[in-house]
Amino acid sequence: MKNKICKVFALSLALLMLLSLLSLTVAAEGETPVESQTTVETDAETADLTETATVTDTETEDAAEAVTNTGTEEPTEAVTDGEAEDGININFQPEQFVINLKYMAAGMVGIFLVIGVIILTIVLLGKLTAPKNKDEE
Amino acid sequence: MNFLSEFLALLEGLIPKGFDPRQLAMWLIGGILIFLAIKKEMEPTLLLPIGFGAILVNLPVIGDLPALQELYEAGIATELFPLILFIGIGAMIDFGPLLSNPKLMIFGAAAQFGIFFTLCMASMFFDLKDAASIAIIGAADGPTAIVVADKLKSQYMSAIMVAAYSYMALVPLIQPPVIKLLTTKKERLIRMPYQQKDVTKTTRILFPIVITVIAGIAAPSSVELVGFLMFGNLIRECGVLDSLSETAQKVLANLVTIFLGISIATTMRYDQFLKWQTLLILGLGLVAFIVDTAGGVLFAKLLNVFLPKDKKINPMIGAAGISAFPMSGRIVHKMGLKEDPQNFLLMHSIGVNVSGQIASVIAGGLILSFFG
Repeated sequence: MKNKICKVFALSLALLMLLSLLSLTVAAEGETPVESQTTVETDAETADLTETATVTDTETEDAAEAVTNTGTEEPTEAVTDGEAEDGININFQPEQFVINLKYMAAGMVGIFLVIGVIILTIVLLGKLTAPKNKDEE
Repeated sequence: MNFLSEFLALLEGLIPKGFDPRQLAMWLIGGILIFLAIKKEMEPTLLLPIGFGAILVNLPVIGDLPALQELYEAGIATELFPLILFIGIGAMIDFGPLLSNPKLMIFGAAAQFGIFFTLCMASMFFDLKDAASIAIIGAADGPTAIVVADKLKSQYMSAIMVAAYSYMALVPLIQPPVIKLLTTKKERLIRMPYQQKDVTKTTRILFPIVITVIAGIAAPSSVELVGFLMFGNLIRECGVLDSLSETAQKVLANLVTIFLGISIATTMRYDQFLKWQTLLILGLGLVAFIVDTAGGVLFAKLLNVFLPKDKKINPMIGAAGISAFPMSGRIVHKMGLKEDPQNFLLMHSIGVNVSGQIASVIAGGLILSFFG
């Protein structure tokens, strides 16, 4: 039973990684920049169009809608304080999971690369310093 | 009727100005954190100041508490406290087990999977910068979480902090069921003989310097975090600064921890904390810890497919790749002993755990380079 659960879990993880790699490839083919450019559109009544990375003003009472533009992708709507205080108003966008899989792929590849370099360096350090140690002994 | 309205007006006069019933809820939350810290000994050094601070900042006083606000601005907004704390942590860590078996570091990388998985999960509910700040809860590393959330200017700082530190304290409860679910008894019984390898003093001294240089080149955003951690370790390993090393490990770390806890609590005002998003963040934090653990264990199982029979790895050590040091390493060791009293996994699991500390900081740096 446990083995089955394990296999299912491992398979789904592998599938997820595959999907993320695919989305990374697709992103690389398109013109999608890695860094996101975020703009903020506030309520029309406030007549205050702000261009900041995120909604930072926690005192904003009007419902503000943060639109995240990641290149050619669909915009992301963010939940802000104003909305939150009105009650359960969480903006659920399941498609963002697949869209952002590229960060998962890039992150995991990046971390394995850096750790790989560190491992090689430690092995090298060990080898370079070993003879000196023997002499000292 | 007239009497009743007069009575109610009288009662209303007794209620202090600036009082909100939600403040009562925050006192309760503060009380629970204090209870967990004292009675259950869950990260008492942080949960106790945070709990007390949560009560303090939610008292019906008019206006802000300037001293606390100053402390927050000076220590958290500038990221000074978490970075200084990293010097203490670096001075506490012995990288010996890792240096004698560097291959174990690969599990530290695998166990960061939860961070990036949670990033995708959180992006379904939050904008990318907040999602990234929430995902870093999976680093199981409070200071890294503070630095990343602060640099990304997350509006959910307090919830992220509380989740990060609470789950670190709950590692003994979260990890064992996940490990057991993903491994068979036969796998848990795998013995891994430990061969003691001497690590030269030169290696120990060069290690923090080299790691800082690599991190600076490969993930520049992580250089502050890695730099402070490794500086602390260099003080420890150089052998000529024993008193500084001791100060960093004890006095400095304790002092910063006191201020860090109470400063974090300044963000726990009822109007900022009591949101549905807070519950969601707590849930996502739990997902991050579970997937981190699963990532490490499953990666070890994957490696076992390719390894010869006599060189199989006990997949439980993969779970120690999260940064909760030394708790995670000890849990794996205890689980190994429970299955087989002669199976000593401590050195392996601590080696993996230490590598998780480095990997989580690098993961934080990568997150910052993506969204910073």
